[in-house]
Amino acid sequence: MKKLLGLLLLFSLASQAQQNSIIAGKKNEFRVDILSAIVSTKASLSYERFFDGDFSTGFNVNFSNSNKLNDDFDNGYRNNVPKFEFNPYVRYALSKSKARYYFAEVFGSYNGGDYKEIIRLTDENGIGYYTTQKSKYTDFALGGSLGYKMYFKDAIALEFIVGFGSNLTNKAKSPDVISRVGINLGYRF
Amino acid sequence: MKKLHYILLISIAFLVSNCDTNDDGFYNNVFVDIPNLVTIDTHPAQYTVGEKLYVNADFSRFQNENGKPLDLFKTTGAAEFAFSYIIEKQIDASTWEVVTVDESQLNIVKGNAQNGAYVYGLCEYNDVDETYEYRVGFPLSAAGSYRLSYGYNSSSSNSVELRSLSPAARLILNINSLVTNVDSAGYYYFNVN
Repeated sequence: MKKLLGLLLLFSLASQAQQNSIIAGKKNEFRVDILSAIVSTKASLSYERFFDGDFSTGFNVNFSNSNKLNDDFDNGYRNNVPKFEFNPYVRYALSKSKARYYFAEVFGSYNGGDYKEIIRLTDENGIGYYTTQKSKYTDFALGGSLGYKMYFKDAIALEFIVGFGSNLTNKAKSPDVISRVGINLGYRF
Repeated sequence: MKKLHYILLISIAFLVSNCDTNDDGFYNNVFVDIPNLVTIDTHPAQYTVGEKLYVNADFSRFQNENGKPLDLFKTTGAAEFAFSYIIEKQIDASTWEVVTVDESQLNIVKGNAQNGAYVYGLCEYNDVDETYEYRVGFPLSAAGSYRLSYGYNSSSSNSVELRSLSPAARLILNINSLVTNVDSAGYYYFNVN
């Protein structure tokens, strides 16, 4: 019985090592964020390049055109509405398995969108009035994320990620916080 | 245990994927100070039962904001400005009771009003003379000591707050308007015999 259990364990370890080897041999991955697409009407695409060892790097781009955010912006519940983000990142795998592992990342974010402010103008008769003026903003953020990734059939990736960053250079107009939250479905090759 | 991790991660993702930051707020509100937009009809402090207490607001769309002209209508597009006041009757030395009457008993001369725990007054825009108008009489049906204050929806004691009822996506103008004939606590006292 002990021999049988030992053989099963050995077979399992060998199988996992083979799976790790197969996945590690694939260095590129594309992903799409299905959570953002459903919840935030945001198109979010990511690319990741894997190095030998535990590090990888990549970037995420997303474009947003949420009706809810646009309505809130128009109705004055917020004074900015993010439209795009470009988020380069570096990741470190926290688990030994290549098939299922936790990871931590640091990311930067070049982001921008629409900004609205109230201004006082004077009409042609010299009478003042208040109105809103729209403009564009851009900002740069730094942040960190934690996530979990798993592979099916050695190529299909499912990834959960939660992270936050802080805008740094234009906080008067940009959102204070950049969130990097998603459920990504990807393909590794 | 792994299932727990998945559930936790998915839950966190859903919770914060649409979370709000401190960017939320009311970014379409403008606050200005324009005194003396609301008045009480000049009258001796002694009324008689059956008389009405008239509150008025009749002001041009063009106002003076700290020495500079301001167009209220162009700013807001509002057909109405709302404000509130409350009338109380003295029950004993330290107790005052809100006086409520049926809305049909209000004498609405200009504008509109709703009566409940307080009088909700609506100054309506008259595009002929380009003014916002309100004149409503409150029936005084019993003898006693009364007081009127504008503080029901306000923390200020010496002013009344008028708020534009602006169309969607237009600016909302909040006017803080000093009032006269009130004491330091914000009450206008009068008697009914």
